[in-house]
Amino acid sequence: MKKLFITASLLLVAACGAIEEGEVDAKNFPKDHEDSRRERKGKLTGEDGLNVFGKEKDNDKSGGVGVNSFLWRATLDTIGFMPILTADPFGGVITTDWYEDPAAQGERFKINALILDSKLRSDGVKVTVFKQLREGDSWRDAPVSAETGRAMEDKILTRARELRVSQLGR
Amino acid sequence: MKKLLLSTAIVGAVAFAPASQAADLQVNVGGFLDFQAGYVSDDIVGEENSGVAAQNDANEINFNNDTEVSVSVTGKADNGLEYGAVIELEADIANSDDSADNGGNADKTYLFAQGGWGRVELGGNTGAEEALSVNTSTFASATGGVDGDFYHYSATPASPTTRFLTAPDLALADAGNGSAISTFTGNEDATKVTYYSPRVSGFQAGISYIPNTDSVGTNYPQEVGYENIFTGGVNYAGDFSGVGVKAAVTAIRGGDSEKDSVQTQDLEGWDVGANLTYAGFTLGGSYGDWGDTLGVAVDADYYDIGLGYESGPYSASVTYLSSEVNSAGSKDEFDNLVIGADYALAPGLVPYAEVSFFEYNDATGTGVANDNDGTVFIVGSQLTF
Repeated sequence: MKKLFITASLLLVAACGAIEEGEVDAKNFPKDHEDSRRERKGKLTGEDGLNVFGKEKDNDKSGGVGVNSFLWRATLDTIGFMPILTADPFGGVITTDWYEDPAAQGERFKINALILDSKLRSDGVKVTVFKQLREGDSWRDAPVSAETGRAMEDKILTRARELRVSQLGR
Repeated sequence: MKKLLLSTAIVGAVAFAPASQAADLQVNVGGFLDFQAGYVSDDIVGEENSGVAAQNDANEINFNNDTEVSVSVTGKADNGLEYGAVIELEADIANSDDSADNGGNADKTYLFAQGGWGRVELGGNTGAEEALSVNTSTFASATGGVDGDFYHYSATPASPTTRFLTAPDLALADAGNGSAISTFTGNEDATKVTYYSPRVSGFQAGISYIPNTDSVGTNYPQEVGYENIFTGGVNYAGDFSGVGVKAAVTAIRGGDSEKDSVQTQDLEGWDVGANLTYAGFTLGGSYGDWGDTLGVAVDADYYDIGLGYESGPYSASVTYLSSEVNSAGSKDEFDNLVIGADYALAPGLVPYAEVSFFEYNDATGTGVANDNDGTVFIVGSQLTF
């Protein structure tokens, strides 16, 4: 009995910090069968129940936007070097006007950015880039590699995370 | 020595994370309300000369209303440590399950801390052996099949040697399930310490320590109950080309208690169970052995088996349990076949219906006092918020 107890407590101490794989999720821990049954059937008030204090995790709609505010702010910061045509904070849509970089004459870009969720998720923003090349007096559409859109999404996500971390630090 | 190690281990587990700014603190309120209407047709309830005088004029129709309000506080520190408390308050007008399943004021109250290293629970909560176990109750519909609420309506035969295993549970969890073992004392949510490992390659282990099975909430040292109980188990959950597999092995082991110089038997038992899920169907069952818990010359075991089906908001199940308490050749047997179905009208709003065909068969004779054979019909609705 004593040996078992000592082993158990040593394992407990040894396990601290050692294991990284397969995290124990706050919502996904072992519970008795009655509680599991109830959980399978959902809750009227949604996943987290009635929140009486504190923000729902990563679900920050504060600041008058209907989508994740970090992604919103980050998108504006990232594509703000181009003239912004429309910005809909509730639908989560930002579109820019055609912009010709003075350093690269003869081609111009336009960006559509869609913020898809109120959670800060890596697939929560979708960027589409449009390109046109000048042919004489008119502009012709040109293909854009998919990587360009993805690279912009990555920049936005990085900026969003920076904003989130700096807010938590306060 | 034991206490010192325990407190060192606990302090080690919780304090290893350096003190850091609390962030994302949340307080959530939830709960449930379950209304059930049950009708029993058996040999005892409402029957004269059944040997259970208290049930002679009992009403065969009974309503039950189970209500709980729970408050959960969760926080997450920047280093990833999640922590909090869960308080499940009983909001019933009165509750017959107070001494064994829940308490007068609350069902469960505990602190938890978790991170990549696992999860620790301190307080009154279900033990690791019950939480990790896999049996028909893992998938059963309505109130839980053979692990369900039929016992709120049926009656146990009165013979003084009566001992039946009426649920697919080991001793502690059985106590919280309308136990038909009159000699057993204990509360399913007795104050304990539990550790769960993270799930690694599908496996998760857990262990609980309970100093006294009768100790709930705050109380003074006392002589009742089983002492120094360890419970634990290993659970596996995985998927093999569309077939979901869940399996578990759990066990309990503890010291006996001595009251007025009379020793009671050691608490022990083990259980193994598995569920296979495919295309909405789940086939599962378990086998459990109580070892010498009820006496050195007493063999007590059970098995359950069942089939469930779930499709969208509908689910239905058929489950069967058979148990035997064999005391030197004389067997107290219990069988139960439960068919149940439920429908999720909205997330958290679930009406259900269940019928249970049960039979208590006492070894000492066929007199009305010893056996009970009957059917329970339950219709109800559960609201979870």
